[in-house]
Amino acid sequence: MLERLQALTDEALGLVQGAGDSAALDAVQTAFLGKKGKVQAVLRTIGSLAPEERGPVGKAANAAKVEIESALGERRQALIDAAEGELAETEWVDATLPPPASTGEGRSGGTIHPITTLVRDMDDIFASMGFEALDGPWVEDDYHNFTALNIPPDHPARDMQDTYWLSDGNCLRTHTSPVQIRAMENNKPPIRAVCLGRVFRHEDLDATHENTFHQVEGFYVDRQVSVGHMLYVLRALLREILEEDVEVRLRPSYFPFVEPGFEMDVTFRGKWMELLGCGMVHPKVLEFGGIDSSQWSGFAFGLGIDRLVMLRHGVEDLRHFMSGDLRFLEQFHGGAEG
Amino acid sequence: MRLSYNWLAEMVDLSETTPDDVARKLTFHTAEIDEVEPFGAELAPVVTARVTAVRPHPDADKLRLCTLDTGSGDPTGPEALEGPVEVVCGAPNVAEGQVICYAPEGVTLPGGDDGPIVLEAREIRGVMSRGMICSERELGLSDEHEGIIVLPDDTPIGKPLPDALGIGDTILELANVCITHRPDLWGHVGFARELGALLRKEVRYPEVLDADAAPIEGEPFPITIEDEAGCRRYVGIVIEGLENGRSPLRLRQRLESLGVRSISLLVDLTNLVLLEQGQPLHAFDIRDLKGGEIRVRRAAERERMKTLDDVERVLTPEDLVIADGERPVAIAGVMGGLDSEVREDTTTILLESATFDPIRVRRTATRLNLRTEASSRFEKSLDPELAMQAALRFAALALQHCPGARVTRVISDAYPRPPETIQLDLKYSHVRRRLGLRIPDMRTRRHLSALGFGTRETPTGVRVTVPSWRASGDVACADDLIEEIGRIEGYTLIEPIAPVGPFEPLRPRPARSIERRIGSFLSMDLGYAEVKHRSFYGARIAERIGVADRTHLMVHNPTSEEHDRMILTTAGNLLATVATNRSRVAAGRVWESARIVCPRADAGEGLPNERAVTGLATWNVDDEDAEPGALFLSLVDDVRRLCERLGVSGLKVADADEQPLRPGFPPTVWLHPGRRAVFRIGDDVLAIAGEVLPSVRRAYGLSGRVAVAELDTATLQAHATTTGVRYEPVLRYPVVPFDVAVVVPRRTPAGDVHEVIHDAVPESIRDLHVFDVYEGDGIPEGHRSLAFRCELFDRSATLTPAAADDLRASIIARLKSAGWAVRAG
Repeated sequence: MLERLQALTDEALGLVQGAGDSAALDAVQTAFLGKKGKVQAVLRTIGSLAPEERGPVGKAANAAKVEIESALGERRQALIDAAEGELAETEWVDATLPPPASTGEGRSGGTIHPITTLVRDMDDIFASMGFEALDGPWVEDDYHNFTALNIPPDHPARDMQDTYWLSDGNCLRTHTSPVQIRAMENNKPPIRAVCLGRVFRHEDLDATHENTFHQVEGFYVDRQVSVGHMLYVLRALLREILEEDVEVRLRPSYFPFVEPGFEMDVTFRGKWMELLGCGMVHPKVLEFGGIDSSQWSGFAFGLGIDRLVMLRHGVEDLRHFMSGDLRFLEQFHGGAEG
Repeated sequence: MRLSYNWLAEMVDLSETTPDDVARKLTFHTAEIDEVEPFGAELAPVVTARVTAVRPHPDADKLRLCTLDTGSGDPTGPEALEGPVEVVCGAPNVAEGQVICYAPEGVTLPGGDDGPIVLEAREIRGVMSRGMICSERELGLSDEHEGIIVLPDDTPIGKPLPDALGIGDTILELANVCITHRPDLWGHVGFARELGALLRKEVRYPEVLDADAAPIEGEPFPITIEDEAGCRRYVGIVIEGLENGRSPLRLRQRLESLGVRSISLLVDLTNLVLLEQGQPLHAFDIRDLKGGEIRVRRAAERERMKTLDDVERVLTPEDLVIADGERPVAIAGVMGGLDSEVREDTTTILLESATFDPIRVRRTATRLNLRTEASSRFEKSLDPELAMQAALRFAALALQHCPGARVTRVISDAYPRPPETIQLDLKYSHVRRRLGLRIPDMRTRRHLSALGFGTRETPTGVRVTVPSWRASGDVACADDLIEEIGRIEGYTLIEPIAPVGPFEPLRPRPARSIERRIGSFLSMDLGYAEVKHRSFYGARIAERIGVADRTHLMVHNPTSEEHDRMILTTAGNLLATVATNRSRVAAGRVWESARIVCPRADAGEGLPNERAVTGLATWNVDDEDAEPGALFLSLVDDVRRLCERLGVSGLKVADADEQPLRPGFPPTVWLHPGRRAVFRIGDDVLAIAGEVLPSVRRAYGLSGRVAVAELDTATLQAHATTTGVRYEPVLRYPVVPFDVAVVVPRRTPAGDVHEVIHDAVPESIRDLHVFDVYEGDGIPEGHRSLAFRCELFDRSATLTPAAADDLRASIIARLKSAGWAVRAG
């Protein structure tokens, strides 16, 4: 009986090696391992054996099954690999040829993501007021994301930022504020700069929490800049962004990189709404950026873009933004201009 | 943090204001109040009443019938309160003449763990009971239900309970992030000081023990600070003759209203001082302090102790401990030890009031994952002067609550290096210029003094002495003072002022504009939908595209395994989006602007290799490859047109091997080896496009054909032109059409032939393109015929037949010298 099993196995393995396509492999599988297959047939006869023979034969039959199965799997993969290797020959297409005419059809359905549209609108508004658009890396070092913004190691304000740390010791930037430092490192004042970009926070996802979102950071350094100047510029910007003749007001707040720090509220659709954080750039931050704080002063502000997009279009769930779902995205067709 | 309005009112006269006004004032001048909510309001329907008669219940031994006088009735109270009422009461301690808490029928009581109790008039063993006399449990005050609450004899009757007991309050809920930098605001006293300044009222600070009033003779309890960097001050007071029972109802209620559970009188008093002064205290039972001494020292490596929460903690020398002569009895600033805690029979304590190093406390609390009310205050950097203040306050309270208590030993005060007083010079003009507010000098001084800053005039401004409670890191420079002046004066008074500055044109904004040009062309002209993906994927997607074995930049603390590494290519997430949409959209196109990140090759310090890229994907579920490579060719054409639109010149398209888009990034193993193109200018790689391998497609559960491309945005930008097209004069003479078929080896790219034809007569040819490809009869094995069409012209005159023949001959000669057969002319 054991010899018969060995013969069966050898026969199956031979067929597997000889199989040229997956249909042939399927046939081997059915013939040997199927319910009416040859290995099963052997197992069915076990009952007629002497009790002391049953164990070894059962074991051998199972071993044969496993061996054939694994050979089938390997051969299947090999066929796929070979087929994919052969594709270089069998399916080669000359990439320098023009495409068939039919592929030019259906080109009217394009859309711009609603976040991009708002970013562009804001970019234009900032540009019209003389703010240069800058960006920095998404993967930031501790110095630019924290220390140079007056958040030294072990400072309790680090709790305000739920940070993704990376295996190389860097982090994903938790705000667009590091761009302030990079702007100062690369430019001499006066500076009027804005960064519209992606930021990351260590968050579990739900309708109102994302780990990936977008911020705008404005930054203004000149001689003798006052809170009054900040109010003027922010009110003008917000009137453009919200397309309403908004009023603004300041409340005290705390951000380590500004002094004094504020929350700014705006009247929007008839109600006061908490909108952004802002303040006069902390002298230490100016010094970290290589700017003499006795000669220069400035203001900075930051706000979340995703929330504004939700307000603008009435989007109910933050997760749509990153879903790639065309049922969501297609609704913004025509919402943007080139 | 929660603030009790009543408590604030004990320190500042708030009689002319309301909780909402106070919340508003604080929000606009100090820190944001998130919520204002009444506390104890649910007890308003319960009233005080006097038991005028107690009779046995006719039918039950343990029940009594009580007649209650509810007074003349509160005119604002419920109607049921007119005249005497009868209730059944089962409490053993009810007696005639008592003032009790009466809950009339119809009232809903907070109740205990079993939830609210709705009272109805009901018969109890044949006798009608109209409401009930309450125990603490029914009122939600505690678990006590052995007997009814008996109020002092002089309590007025017929009053709503919150008023009668003084437990009704309004709680102001504070946004903690607003006071991260203000250690002085982590207790009620700090807010009272703020309100005093804002409302221009005197502040009545809580009474403290006058240590000098009665002579104390005993030796101070020995305290040694071995680690002076870790502990700035350690005050210890020994108090004897204490009784550690249950706290009075009012004290318990105050703690309860601020979210602190009542434990026992001594613990409650430490918590009360914490909430009042912002200083964490700890009371040790003096019997448990072995060797009769305290040492503040670093923990030994792997030293162990059990904290109050009954968890054994393993410590490191980074941790600071409070030890007695033998072992640690508390983790400094974080939590006390289990076996030195005050107990029911405690009569003598050592009260600890200390100032620990904020960073050390924060590190220990973080490492042990043990953030406590104490640690969150210490890590804000507390004022060492507060340590003594709070200790004396505790002593005063202990003596007040325990008639037999006394302080018999001189107060211990280990204070190695008191900090120097901070003085700052402030110019009035600086204040005005920074705020943009014309604030009179006198008001500047007044605001500062109202907050406790010392002021002395100088020729141009004021010399300011920072009070100790603002000097532990909070106020350190003149700008910090400007904030104080500005917020007390009121930020809402500042008017917008137009800035005057140099107005210069913006420098070009290349990064932004290239991305915008790419996006507009793809979405508006080529019909792609812009998608956004997170910058991560997980092992599952990495395996699907065959890059799982590549070194990714990993997220150290991922929120999900789907987001545990930074993307090395946009293909992984783009294909997932194709899979999301394919069941509803048979054929589509999407693009995204993204960044791919790979770890630094040298594994050194610094930022990783981060590249801005544009990813494209296009799919067609029904594509059976009837027109071989149609989807691939279409994508290649889209990328080529995009490059043309960006003004890129000298672009070469060629078959690609597995090369990556950028060195260091993974080879494009997810692409079909026969349908994979690289776009180059010279040695620069602009893009790679290709059809997705069948096995990758299957891994995503996709049928039909899918193609993806990735463009290196910065390289595109480097080759793009922004100056616009170069004009060529309009052709004023007729053109001569010309077709030519070239037989080439099968794998010779049409692009190479195109280049040869074009370069033969570069000044006289236009609109050159392939219009037919043929293999089969008449063409040698392994070859194909490429038919080109173009127009020939002469820019300066009508092309004569002879000149046209010359052009044709030049083209054919070049083709032949390239080794190709020319079939027609």
